[in-house]
Amino acid sequence: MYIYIKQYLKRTSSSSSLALYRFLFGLLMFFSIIRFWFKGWIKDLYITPDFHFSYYGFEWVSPIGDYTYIIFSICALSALFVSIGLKYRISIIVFFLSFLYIELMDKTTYLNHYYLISITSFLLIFLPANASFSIDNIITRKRYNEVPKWTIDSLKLLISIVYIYAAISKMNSDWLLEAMPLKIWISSKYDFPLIGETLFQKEWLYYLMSWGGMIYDLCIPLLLLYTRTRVFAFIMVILFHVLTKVLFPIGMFPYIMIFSAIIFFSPDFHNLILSWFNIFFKKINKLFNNNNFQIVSLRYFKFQWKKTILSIVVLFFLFQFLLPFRYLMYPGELLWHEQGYRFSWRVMLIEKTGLANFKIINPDGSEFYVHNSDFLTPFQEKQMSFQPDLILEYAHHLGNYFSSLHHENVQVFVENYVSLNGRKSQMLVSDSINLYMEKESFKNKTWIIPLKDEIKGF
Amino acid sequence: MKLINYFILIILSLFIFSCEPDEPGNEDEIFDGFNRTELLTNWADNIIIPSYNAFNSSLMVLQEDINNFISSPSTTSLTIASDSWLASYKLWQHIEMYDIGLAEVINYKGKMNIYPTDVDLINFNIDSENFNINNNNNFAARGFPAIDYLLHGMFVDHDNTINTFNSNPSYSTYLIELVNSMCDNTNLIINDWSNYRDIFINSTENTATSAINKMTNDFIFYFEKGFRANKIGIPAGVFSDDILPTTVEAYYKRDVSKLLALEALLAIKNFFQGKYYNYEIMGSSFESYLNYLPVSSQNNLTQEILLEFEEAENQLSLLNNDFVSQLETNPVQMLYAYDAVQLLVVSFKVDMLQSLSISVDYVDADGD
Repeated sequence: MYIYIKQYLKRTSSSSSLALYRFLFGLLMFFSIIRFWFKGWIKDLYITPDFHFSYYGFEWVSPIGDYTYIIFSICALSALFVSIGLKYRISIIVFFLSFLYIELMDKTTYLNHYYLISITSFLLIFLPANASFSIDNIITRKRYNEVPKWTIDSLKLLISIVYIYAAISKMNSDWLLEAMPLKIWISSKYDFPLIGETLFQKEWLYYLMSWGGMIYDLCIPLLLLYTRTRVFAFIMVILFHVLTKVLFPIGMFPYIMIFSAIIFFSPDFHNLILSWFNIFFKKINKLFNNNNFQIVSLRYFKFQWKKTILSIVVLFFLFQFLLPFRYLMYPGELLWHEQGYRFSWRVMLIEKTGLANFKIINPDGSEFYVHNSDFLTPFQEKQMSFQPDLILEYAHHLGNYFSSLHHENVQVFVENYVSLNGRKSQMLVSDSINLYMEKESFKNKTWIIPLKDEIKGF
Repeated sequence: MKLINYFILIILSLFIFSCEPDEPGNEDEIFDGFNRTELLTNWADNIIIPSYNAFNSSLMVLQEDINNFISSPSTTSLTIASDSWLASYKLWQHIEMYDIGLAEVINYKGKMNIYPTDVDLINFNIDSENFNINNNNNFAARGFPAIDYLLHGMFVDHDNTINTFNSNPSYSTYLIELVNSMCDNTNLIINDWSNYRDIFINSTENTATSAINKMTNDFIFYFEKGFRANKIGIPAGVFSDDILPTTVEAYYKRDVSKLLALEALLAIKNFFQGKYYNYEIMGSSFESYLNYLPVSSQNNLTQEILLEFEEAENQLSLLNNDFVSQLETNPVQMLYAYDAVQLLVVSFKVDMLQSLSISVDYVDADGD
């Protein structure tokens, strides 16, 4: 086994696979940020709101007013640098940090694919993605034809984890036996041209799509790995993600997943795609040749701190394997209390509608209800209304605000009703707990009222 | 985007039709389309437009009676004007929730029923004799609440009121201006509905700006804000440290606040059930829509909502005709009414929206 691993680590593959991935990743990230900017979301989501929901332990990360645009500029620019492979190592580190900062600014906007981008860019820090087809080759006058095979496989592994964990999370009674929440979502697409009023109203379609989605997620990594099924699998990837793009407002996610699947193709294929790039590259090369510059083509890329980097990558994957299962440490229904829900590839699993009215009890015993719109944007209010950790953080914000008016601590209670996947609404956060006295932690939140129903499976 | 749509459509239909079972199961029949145009048509033709027409007639009566009062102020003419003010105010309870189309554009409800009315501003306007009632600053000095103050609020006894109108013509001018502008704005809306109706009934798509979704949002927003908060919650001190009796609707007339609240609740229930205005006929409605949708029909949501309506009605009926004296004697009773109404808010905002899965007018952002 040890020998096998040792031999595996020595195996190499064409560096063009990483180069193509780097080029597409950087480009896509660049356009994602530009798109985000042009939609006015930087202003709407980060600058307009007075209050931001923070991740536990990252309360110090927050938007910095109009300077927030600078963070986005840095992020976009570094993505472009990553794409062309200019000062790659520094650029990918800057991209990772700036993107991470953006994501940590407000928990309201958490999306699984933002998390995917964050961890992919983290992994890319340790991969020699600038070994070829990069501006760095011209600067250092060195390029490498081959890189360790595990560097390419690590990206494949990461994508496979996303799919397979997404499949596992769909193996529950709501998704498979009730076709929820697809039943709600698809039937509400009645205005879809031609088939909205007919096909989208068919009960069997919801089941077909639920089961199809789960089986697709489960099988696609394997189908992409085998040469024989790869083309078929890739067509499925395109169809599936374009379908989700048309049906649901999921932004750039489909494009990210489609381009990521390209890494599974053979190095020859990656070379083929890069050949046009090659022509351009040779022209630049010629330009430099005239000035007596020469790029040395080296056969193998060698890591400088191989052991350290390997340890980091192994730890990284261990973390990725275990993190989605942390929900097992919390009692009760995960889809209901959402403790351990994030960072686990639970995509499109729940449709929640909520209502949260906060009651402040003054030191003198008088009480009143808060207008949420005085403190939150409609989007923040909507997200807060069904997520217990956001409810707690907002309750503390209200407690701090009203206590400072009285110079004495007020009490904060919530009346919170939530409907999950078409169930009758019920209370989520207990209305008899002074939330201002409760502290955020990784411990089980005992003030969450259990779901009066059972969802079987994962 | 359009091209992609159709591309996917073709692929999907090929895929779907190739694996359609030979004999579709019985449950397919349950979900065979809901006619949303029929729903919007019922709302427009049988509820909204007839309500506007009835309200308009009542306003014309009010206009006439106020003119009579101005030309010959007496206890009788004052009582007649006051009665028609109340009759019209009752019908207004059927109108306020339709904050859609031109009504939304010109902020019709803001021009008709902002309370508490701003007494200082009214007096300032009257004294200055040079005011423009349509000025945006005057929202709190116009509409039903301003008339309420002029007819019932300046003095306790009729004689003083009559004397004031007799001796100072600028009071008469202001009162006539108030009722005239109410009539003018209502006419604008009614005229607009003759064109807007066709746009309204065909706007059935599931988008943030479609008539069906806007009307749903308006309905829920009105229930939560216009009905629950304004009529009950704010006076009962739900949003403040203390009770606020001066914020009661029809504060100066006093003994009609319960009547107006019950009328509003009835109008809301009628709209929910699709009941034709002034007829005992039920048409397509939220009730029939929710009974059709898979999630809400499974949960018997409409049955529960109708029970909650009943309970809210019962709790409101227990209150004093005059909410001000209710608050002064037993404010807790008013909180009970609030709680009963709040149950309906939960049903509308959580359960009904969950089932409808409509695009709510939030900021758009990506999901996953």
